[in-house]
Amino acid sequence: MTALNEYKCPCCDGAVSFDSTSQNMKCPYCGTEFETQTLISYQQEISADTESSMEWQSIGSDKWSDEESKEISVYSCNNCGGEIVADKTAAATSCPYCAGPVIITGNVSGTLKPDVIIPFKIDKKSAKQALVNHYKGKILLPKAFRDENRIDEIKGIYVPFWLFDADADANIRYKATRVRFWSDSRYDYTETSYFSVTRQGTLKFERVPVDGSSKIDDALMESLEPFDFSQAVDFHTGYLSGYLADKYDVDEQQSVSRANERIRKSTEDTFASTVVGYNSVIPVSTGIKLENGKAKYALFPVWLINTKYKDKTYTFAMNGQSGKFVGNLPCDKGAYLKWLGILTGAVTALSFLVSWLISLM
Amino acid sequence: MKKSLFALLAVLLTVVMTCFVSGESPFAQRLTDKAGLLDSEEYDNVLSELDLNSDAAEIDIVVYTCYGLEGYGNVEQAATEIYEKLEFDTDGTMLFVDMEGREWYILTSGKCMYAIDDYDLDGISEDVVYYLSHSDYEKAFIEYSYEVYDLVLDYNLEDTYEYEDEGFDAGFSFVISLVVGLVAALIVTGIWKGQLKSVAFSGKASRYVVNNSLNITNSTELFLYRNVVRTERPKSSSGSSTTRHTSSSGRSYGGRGGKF
Repeated sequence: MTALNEYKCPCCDGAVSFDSTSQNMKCPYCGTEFETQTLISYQQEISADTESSMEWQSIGSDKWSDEESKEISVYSCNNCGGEIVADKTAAATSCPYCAGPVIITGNVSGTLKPDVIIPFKIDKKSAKQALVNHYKGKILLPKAFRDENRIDEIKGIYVPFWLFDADADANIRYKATRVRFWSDSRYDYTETSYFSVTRQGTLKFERVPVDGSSKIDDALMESLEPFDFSQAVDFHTGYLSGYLADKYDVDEQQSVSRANERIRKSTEDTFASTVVGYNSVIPVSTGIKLENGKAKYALFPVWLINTKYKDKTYTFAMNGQSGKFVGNLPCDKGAYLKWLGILTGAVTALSFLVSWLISLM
Repeated sequence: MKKSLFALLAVLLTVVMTCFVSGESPFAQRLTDKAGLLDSEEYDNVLSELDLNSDAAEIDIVVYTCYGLEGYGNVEQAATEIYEKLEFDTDGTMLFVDMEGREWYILTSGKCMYAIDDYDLDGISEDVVYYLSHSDYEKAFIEYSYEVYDLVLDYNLEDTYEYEDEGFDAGFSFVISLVVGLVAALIVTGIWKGQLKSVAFSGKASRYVVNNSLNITNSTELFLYRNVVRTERPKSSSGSSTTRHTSSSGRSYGGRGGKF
């Protein structure tokens, strides 16, 4: 017994049947007609859609050797629970996240050792100057915030990142439209043609970073990108001298969802950029399979400062390699309303004057 | 003195004779009833209305009836050429009635093409045709005269109104200025507030795509269906005009015709 094929309407998803009058396939719900071969091809496209399968071969990094672990100490903060590592000679006394006191609690034995590190290129002096420059020109920044200068508490810290490499094998189907306009003496016409577009192919990603610390805001770290990996070197404890390093508390398995999300969006966009000549392109079905997925553990340099203003903590960060400075600043509501009033008054007066002068012409 | 009087008399006689021969007054009357649809009293009534309304509206409102198309190919051509031949005002309108073919045509010229659009012609013709069909010719012509007069008067007033100096409305200007001021202030302060934010998710991994690694192995583009939407173009209110044609002299006219 042959299987009966039910064809779905590309317009409204209703069940399409053959219309003997027009000799075409016709949807009884929306009335749209299709050529039979078109529907057969469309059905084949839909059945070729694949589910995403973004699995990773997790390659853990090496663990610290006994010799290396002797050189490194782990400091814990009782206030916020942050754990930082520093070499034994470091005089780490305050937490870079909450400024609470830290105490040595152990060593790094048994934990993962970073694969690579990007050493600091920007010194503390430049970091301080960057913070001052960050405040400049911000008319709505509260004066009190600007004056409460904790600039000396800026700390250089190596932030743990998971770097993901993968080959994305994608099968994406889009709904695309082409629109044409014309008019005659009585009517305006708008013709919209609908297309089903598919793209299959591969795209390679390397070193997609996801920060491995729950203490640092992911958005803050993503705002500091990019880090130039060409300047990364194999890790050595010597690089930690004079700086602190955050110990990862978000492992690679927990970080993959963020990496997957970034890879999926970029894959969709890259493939969509190959669909040209249409007025709109919307992805309908995305199937991405990851191959050769692996993760590396890296330390990236960041200058960090936390400050409190009106019971709210503000964190500023500077890319210790490129010097990019980010950090949300508070808004002085009083200044905002004051300027809103001044500008409204000034522009109102000016437009009133202009309209009066025009009326005199 | 006598010679001058004789000369004047001769000129007048020539003019009258010319009119007698041609049957037309050099100063064409606004009512020509060659078809004999009106008796003398009705004729005077209609002519008086036409003259009154024409002077008030500052145009020529003309009625012309005849048997046949006077040698012209169709009723539109007949109305157009006769209107021009009789040298009526550039701004004017004529109701042409051919009793042989029982056809009518309303011709518009000059500003009447804008004062009386196709929609208005539909309205006028509905009333006129009704009376013509019922052989109430006097009523048909008077109705036509009044309807045209009303439309042209409205058009004249609208025209005047557009150019009338209303003066400076301080209250209205202040409100508009305040809205402009508030919008501008919100935009500027919004930009300043935006400068305070510099932290955001990147969202994508475009930077980490290996150069030239994109490899499209299969691509298809399948046409599914087409949808055409048609919307009627709006008729513009003032400045609308009738469907146009041109006379043998190249002048533009508007108009509408039919049978009764």
